[in-house]
Amino acid sequence: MLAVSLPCLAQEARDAGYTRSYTIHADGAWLAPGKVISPAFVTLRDGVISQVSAAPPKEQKGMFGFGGSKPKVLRVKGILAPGVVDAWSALAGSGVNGDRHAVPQRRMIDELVLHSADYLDQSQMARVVETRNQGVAATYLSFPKGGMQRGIGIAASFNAADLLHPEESTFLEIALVGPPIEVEMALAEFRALFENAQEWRESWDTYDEKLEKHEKDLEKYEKDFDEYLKKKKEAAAAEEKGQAAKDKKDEKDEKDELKMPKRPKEPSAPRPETARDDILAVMDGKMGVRLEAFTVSAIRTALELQQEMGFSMVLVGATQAHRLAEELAAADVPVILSAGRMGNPDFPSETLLSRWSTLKEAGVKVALASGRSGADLLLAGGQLISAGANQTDVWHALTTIPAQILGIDQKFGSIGNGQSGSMILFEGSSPFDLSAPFRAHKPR
Amino acid sequence: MLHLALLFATPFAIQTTPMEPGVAKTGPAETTPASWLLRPDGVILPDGTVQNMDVLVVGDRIQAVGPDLESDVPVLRLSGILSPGFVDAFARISSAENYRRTTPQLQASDGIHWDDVDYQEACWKAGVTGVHWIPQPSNVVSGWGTFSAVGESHVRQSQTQAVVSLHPTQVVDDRLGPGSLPGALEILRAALPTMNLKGTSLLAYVDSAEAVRSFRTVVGNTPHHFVVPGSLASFGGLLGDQLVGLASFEGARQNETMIRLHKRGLRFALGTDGSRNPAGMRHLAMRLSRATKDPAAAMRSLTSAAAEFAGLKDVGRVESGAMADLTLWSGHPLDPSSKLKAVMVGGKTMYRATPVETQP
Repeated sequence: MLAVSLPCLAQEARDAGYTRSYTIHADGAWLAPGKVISPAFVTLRDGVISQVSAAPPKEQKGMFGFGGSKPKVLRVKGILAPGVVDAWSALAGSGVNGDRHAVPQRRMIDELVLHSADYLDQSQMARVVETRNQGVAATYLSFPKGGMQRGIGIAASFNAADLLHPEESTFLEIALVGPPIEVEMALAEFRALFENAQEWRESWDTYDEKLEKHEKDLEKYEKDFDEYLKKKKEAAAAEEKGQAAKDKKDEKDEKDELKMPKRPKEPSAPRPETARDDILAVMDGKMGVRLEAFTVSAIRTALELQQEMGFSMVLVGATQAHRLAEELAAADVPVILSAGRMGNPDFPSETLLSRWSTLKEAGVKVALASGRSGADLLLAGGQLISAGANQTDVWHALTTIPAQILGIDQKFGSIGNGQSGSMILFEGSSPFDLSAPFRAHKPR
Repeated sequence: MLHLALLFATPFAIQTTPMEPGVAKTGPAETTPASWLLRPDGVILPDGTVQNMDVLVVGDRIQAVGPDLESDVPVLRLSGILSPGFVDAFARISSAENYRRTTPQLQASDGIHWDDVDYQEACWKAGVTGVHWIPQPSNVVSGWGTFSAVGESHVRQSQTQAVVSLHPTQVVDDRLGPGSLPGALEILRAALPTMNLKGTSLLAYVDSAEAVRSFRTVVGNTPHHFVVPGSLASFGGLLGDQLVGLASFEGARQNETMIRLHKRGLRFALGTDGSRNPAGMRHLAMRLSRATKDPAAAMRSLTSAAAEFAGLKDVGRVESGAMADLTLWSGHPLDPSSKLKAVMVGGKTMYRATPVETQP
């Protein structure tokens, strides 16, 4: 067994030659909120957790006694916890979707190429690495401000080079922010998109009818054409007879000329369009809508819109959502709050802690995220705890709930088989404890 | 638990009554404190680390700190961590006089609101036992700071440090012209020989590299500390390993700045400046600890470094000879789940988190 003090894990694991598979033997592990084991043996294979137990993993027997292997054990001081899931971040950078009129519906995945080391500017790179060092395992890349219908955002984790790596979780982002007239405009724009998609879908039905008619027209055309050829032959034969025809020439000119029948035009199929495909995915419930709204009136409008169109919705921002807690709980709409600002203690009902608690008590699923503030989530969580929040609840709102909202809970938010190996190792009483060392484990 | 109850059963009334300015020390709260040998789970020492120590409190001062002390005074076994009370390194007094250029050289001691009970309680709840009051930096020569312990009705030291302001946007003096640093420097140059510093330091509000450089050329070797109300990002590197007053930790690059400056040896003293939000002190220290990964330095910036910034040698530290301004926490103060249990100022228990049990 290799005893390692704090500067440990991935680098040491690699130095020791445990690149593919190794077991971390920690003093304990927070598997999920309220579920703790001590000690903990977490086996990783290719950066993914393959086994978790409170006892050392047994040697795996190979076939006929050959090829048996026991994962190398890395002894570390501290307790493991899953990495934080940030359900709303501004890590995508401010350059994305700057000109919304040029490209009204961008896809964040197209921007991810800009997150490769060659393109990233240094401050952006520093922010991505810092976020990871702060214990974040997965993040949602949201579009920056500007534009009502912003595009398709995507959840991302971090790859071995600390760069963003797309996950299979996308959302259509819509914002109902700004003065009422702009909200109205956004709504009209959004409704038009839905109607357009609906029309497009219906146009396939009429296309089929048109196609049937076209088949019949085509048959008729072929008959007409045969007839035309026949007549033309007759006319040619008559011309050869010469004189007889000459006499009748004037007569013939008066008669209508032999006309070639026109081939009927084939009806055009509805044209495919990526942006519309996204709306269709939303209409079919394959993709959720992230609706950014802050005020009571905007949130009410959002709820009405959701009931009207029947898509699945996540409310983002929602600083006044606590006033509609019951309605949100009834509609089963999760909320993502920004943990960037704790709020002014002089207005106790408007502090983050109070807004969050109100929603939580009403039965709304609430995730705490960095939002546009770029806040350090564990630090913000610590401030909530010191203000009186329950530690387990805060932990829940930073890991399992955001992972569920993003639909990536199979890979992030807890420690278990198949979960990402991006974890936190802390030596204090909790990941929020700032009196003791803390580090993020980055599997390679 | 029993021992803890014993601490609270001290014969001293919990002082929550408002203090009137100028009233002599009277009443039951002002009787001479008794002596105790405190035996907590850990003590935060002046270097910011936690050690297993005993603390002997005699009267209003700490007489000895060491492992397994022996004394004939009653022994109190305390569950939790004993920390020096936090020192607010610079808090502005609010007074209309601050803004008159005809009244520079204000004494902060003249502007303290002794009867502000809400503020007192907010301080105790935040673990703050000492406040270094300074005049608003609205005159180039703003005046003198003063130090008072929270809950006491008198100042501990009336002239701590002299405050000067080279923060042109804060200075109201209309002779300077808008945002004029050269004008401010002229006033400072003229005033410096007349200021009787008597071994104290200058606290200089600065907001730019230009201000730091020109201040240094004007004051030369006069001892000084800088107060930076805004971001340190652009000129923190100039400050070397000095002790700097810091009141906020905002901005996207601030984390990186702190990491960089901490590596270079810059030390911080945390203050509330104009915010009057003592609870923000602990959060500021938490942020500092998170960025620099140095909890001991973060604790120093709340206690011993903050006291040093205010020019005081006997507060903000648990060591023999220091004032017995102590706080008891259920865990390390930088652990957000730790709760404040009790506050002692000058050897007297001033505040307890649990309700007061009255004896029949």
